[in-house]
Amino acid sequence: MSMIVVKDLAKSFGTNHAVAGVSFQVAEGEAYGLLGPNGAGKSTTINLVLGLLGMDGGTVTVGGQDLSRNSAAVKRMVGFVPQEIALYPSLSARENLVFWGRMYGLGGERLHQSIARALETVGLADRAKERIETYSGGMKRRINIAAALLHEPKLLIMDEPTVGIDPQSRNHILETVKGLNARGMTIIYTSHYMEEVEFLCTRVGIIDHGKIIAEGTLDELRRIIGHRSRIRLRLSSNGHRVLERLRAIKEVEKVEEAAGEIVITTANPAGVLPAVTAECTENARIQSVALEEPNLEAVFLHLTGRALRD
Amino acid sequence: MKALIIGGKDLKVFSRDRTGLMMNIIMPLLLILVLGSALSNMVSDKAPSIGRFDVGVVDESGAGGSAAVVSSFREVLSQPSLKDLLNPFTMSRDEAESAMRAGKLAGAVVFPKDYAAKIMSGQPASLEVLFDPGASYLKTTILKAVAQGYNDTVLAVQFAMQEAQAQVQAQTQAQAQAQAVPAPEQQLAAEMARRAAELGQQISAKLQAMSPRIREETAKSSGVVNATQYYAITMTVMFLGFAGMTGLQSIIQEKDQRTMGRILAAPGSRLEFVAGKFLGVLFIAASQFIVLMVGTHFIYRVDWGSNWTGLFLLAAAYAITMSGLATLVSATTSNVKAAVTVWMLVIQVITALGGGMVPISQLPKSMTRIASVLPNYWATMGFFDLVSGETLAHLMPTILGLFAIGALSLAAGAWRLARDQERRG
Repeated sequence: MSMIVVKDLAKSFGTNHAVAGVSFQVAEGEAYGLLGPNGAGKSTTINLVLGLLGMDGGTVTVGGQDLSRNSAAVKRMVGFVPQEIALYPSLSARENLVFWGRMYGLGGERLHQSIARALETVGLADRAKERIETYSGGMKRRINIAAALLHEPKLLIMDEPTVGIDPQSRNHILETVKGLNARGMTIIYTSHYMEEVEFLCTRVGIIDHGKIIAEGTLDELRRIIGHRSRIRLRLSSNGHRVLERLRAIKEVEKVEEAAGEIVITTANPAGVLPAVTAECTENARIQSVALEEPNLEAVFLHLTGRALRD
Repeated sequence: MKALIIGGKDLKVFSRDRTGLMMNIIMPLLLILVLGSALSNMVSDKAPSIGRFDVGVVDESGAGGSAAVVSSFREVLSQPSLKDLLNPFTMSRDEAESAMRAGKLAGAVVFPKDYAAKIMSGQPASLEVLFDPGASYLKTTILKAVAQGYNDTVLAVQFAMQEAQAQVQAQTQAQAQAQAVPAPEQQLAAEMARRAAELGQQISAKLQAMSPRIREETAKSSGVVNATQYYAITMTVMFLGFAGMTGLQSIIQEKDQRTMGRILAAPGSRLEFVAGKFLGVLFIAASQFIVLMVGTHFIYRVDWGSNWTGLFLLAAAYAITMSGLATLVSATTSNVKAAVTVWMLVIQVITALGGGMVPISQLPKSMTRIASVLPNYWATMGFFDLVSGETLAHLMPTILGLFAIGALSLAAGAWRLARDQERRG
């Protein structure tokens, strides 16, 4: 059964079509990734799904309830972790959680139990009395998540929740989200970090210029580019001189130049690498060589000709 | 309910802000002390000596009966107890306004077009009082008290006349039924004449009684013009304006920190959010008002009078006006620093215009004329009135006017905020 069904969602700001007919659905208990570069339309899609923006077209149904007809019921089912740390710095973590819990109608013993559970989930029960302004960036992010868990939502929507934090905190957050999903919570996770989406999500929608350009499980998406690997080369100078020679090498399928790098797509990286290095060293000095197995970054590059973090 | 939670949260956030507390609580107490001590020579705390001053009497009705009414009013003013205070001149409205603009007239009492007709037909009627905003507060207080006292007396007499007439008619009809003969018109006329004579005596007594009452009010109002008391009121009004700025900052911060988006993602409406922010400013302003009132009372012995309901209603109305205006400003700007700077500047300028820095009586007429259309001037005058013993009913037009400005600007701000959120996403 689908927890959320988004159909033909559209939103324009003047002449900018930020979301142009986005459709996807997420099954109960599934972790769905919305992957795309900055400005692709991820946050606008999320804001439309949350009812923070009025949609120009389309429908959003959560748990069988239509957002435009019964937004209160939809909002009660959804927990939202915004990209920014949407907390009050001069209040303690507990005071923040009390406030956010009350925003969802919680009170009394139920509120206190929910706060204890949420703090336990994000591992900050022992720091609950401290003010948010004294927390590190990672700890703030964790309380930011805890605030969305208080009313035990069926669907948790996370909009780039790991932006600007240290790797340790990032790992903690990813493990937390994984744990929530394992306990049956449906997750929508937007990010431009493909590793996060690969780690957390079972299905992924790739969004660009306000449209879903590909969707499926990780395997289905990787199959779009076949089992091709990519060799990334960085040369000291004049890389474009060797592009034609590289294209002539047997089993090299595609040669592109992007962001100062030469990217070679091939199904047999080990076989072509000696010939590639030989061609390159004739014309320039090789500064670095990297081999990439098929991943979502490659899929995005294949579909759009651009890198996710361009 | 959600609005109350948001308002309560804002009060808690405010209480944690040391700079804000310093700015909104400690600073006004210090300013009251400094200004009250430094400028005490400009605001006398002794019983006032204002001498005789000119007042206009404007009769706009010019119809039957009005001459008698206006004449009775002039008689009141010519009584010995008022004669050494008021010097009445009959004039047109234009002449009165022109004289006030020139600073030659403190004020004028206007008998509206239908005043005499209403009195004669038993309908409620009221006098209009024009006054120069730059004139001494004491003079305008006296003039308003005289006009109000006269109007009250006329209305009381009018009511008594109606009652008497009804009683006489009822008695006459009863007699006529018992005797099965029509009531003689002469009998009715005689009874009316007797009652009229009695009421005439009552009018005279009431008019005589008015003078001591005005004297008493004058004496009471002299207590207002105590330097510390004066600045306690003007500084409280200024800092209630700054409470509006706290609300402005708070709304902009909610937008910037995206806590506003998070609140709106929870069940509830945008209206509840705006109402919550509005309540927050109100809670902050109320706390600030209580602390300043209690603080100035105990530290500087300032007498705030006994009309607590009026004081709190007026403070709330003014805080609502300023928070409504703050909501509007915050909704129309994307630059928090610029908005706050402009707001602080505006508050200080209107405070200066409204007599917050230098007493109103010392300001040029042009400035006080500008000030008279500003909400802080209304609030300051309202507090003066309440402290000098005015009733809540007298202040209701001011309070309702402030509420209306607050509500309108709040509605405009809420609409703009919603539109901005929709555009920004």
